[in-house]
Amino acid sequence: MNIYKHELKVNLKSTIMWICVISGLASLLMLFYPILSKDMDSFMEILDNLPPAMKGLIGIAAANILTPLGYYGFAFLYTLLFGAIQSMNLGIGIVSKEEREKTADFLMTKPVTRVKILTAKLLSVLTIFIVTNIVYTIVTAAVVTSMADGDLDTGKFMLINLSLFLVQLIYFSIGLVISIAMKKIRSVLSISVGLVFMFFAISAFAVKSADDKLRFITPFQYFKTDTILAEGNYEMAYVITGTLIVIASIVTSYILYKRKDVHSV
Amino acid sequence: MNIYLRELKAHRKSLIIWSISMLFLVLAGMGKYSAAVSTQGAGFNEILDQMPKSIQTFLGVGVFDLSVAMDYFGVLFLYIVLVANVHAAMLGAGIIGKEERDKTVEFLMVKPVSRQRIITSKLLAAITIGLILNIVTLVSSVLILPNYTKGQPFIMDLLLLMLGMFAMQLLFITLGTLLAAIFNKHKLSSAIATGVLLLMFMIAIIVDIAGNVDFLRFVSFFKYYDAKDIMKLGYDIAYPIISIILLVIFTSGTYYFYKKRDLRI
Repeated sequence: MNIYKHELKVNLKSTIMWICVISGLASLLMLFYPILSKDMDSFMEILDNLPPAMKGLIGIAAANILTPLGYYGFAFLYTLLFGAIQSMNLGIGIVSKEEREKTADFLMTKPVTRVKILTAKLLSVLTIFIVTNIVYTIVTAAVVTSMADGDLDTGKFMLINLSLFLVQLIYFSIGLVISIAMKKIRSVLSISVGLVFMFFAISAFAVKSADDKLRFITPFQYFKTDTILAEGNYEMAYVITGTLIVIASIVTSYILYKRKDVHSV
Repeated sequence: MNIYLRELKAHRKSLIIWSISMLFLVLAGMGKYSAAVSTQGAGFNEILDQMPKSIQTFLGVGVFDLSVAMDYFGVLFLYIVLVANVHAAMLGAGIIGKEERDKTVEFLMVKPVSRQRIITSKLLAAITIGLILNIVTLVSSVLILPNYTKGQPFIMDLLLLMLGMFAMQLLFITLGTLLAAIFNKHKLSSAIATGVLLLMFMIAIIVDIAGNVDFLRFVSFFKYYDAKDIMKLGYDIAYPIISIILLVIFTSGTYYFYKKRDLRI
């Protein structure tokens, strides 16, 4: 319980900062919705002159933009990017910081098992994610509702927002297992930001088709807002993959951490 | 010279990882192109030209594609630059900050070299490493692009793009060293460097969406060397001039602040 509280205290400032960044960014991007929908009206005229096949291709994607929720789905991409960095930072940092900051032997000599230490840390991270997501949802719900004029599919909106939490869990567990498997981590940020942007860059080019196998590589593609908007649910294959990644990473982390050499110097 | 060689050696492993990621990004990114073109054919450029910039950003590159390989590469270029700049910012902040992080700063300072010389060696090392990553990207593109360009000349465009990318890398490297020279907390300087990078990336996206906020272009390094502009019009002379001025400011700032800053032991 002490470790849990301590972690919450230590991460309080950065959590507040991340909440502000993520919610602020999504709200900021939403402010551009009126500009975009105006552009869209003129573009629709061009679209009418196109051959039907091409019109279908662009039209489906373009139709999304006409609704505030559709535009929110686009802005949400950047929410995910920043949420992923937050969670990857926590994943890589939360255990490895003890060694980096030379507090590992202090912690290890306390009468708690390593399993308990890891559990307490995991729970505190879970709390941080839940708080982040609740605040984020409240803020964006207010912004999106104000733009939607009562025409908002709450179920789909919540599904999109819930995917932030799920993606954060996936990135966190990946970061955690990497940090425990590696001997020593000197700089959390360079690893986490590097990894997340690699995933992001792959994701930007993996969207070509919905059944591309490359989608499994990057968690950014697991919960596509297009699919959520069109069908109102997640794709099962990716939910399962995500769950497996989280479970496998956490279990591996426990196993590795229990027998890891922890250097005190 | 010793410091320079030592830095190159210390960064060898991470440089290899970044280079492989870069190669993979170009390979995977261009891999998407062939699939896109065979199904959709020509005619997209005309639509794309008529389309408001905000809509293009919203639709992203995933939905449809350009029929000219180099234009497609121009879209991919944003993500290549993103990865290269993350590397550059981390490298710049890390190369100076890591002495204090790893508690090696005392060892370094008692050597008979002035702080200026240390900075000079480290800056040169960082520039060399950035250049190597740039060349790796260039070579991978030169090897991969001919498979898609159907004999059209692309080397000139590519060289111009890569030169622009190198300028952005230099800006982020020196920004990183400046921050590390000002703050003696490594975590703080690399956090600020990342923050600035993310902010600039978001500004670049917002410029694309909003279109009419062109003055914002000056705020974001990502917009200094825009692929579409470079390939159509060549460099806008304003940006190379601003880049040089900023580089001089960042570099001299690095020397100035590091000379008098307290070391954290």
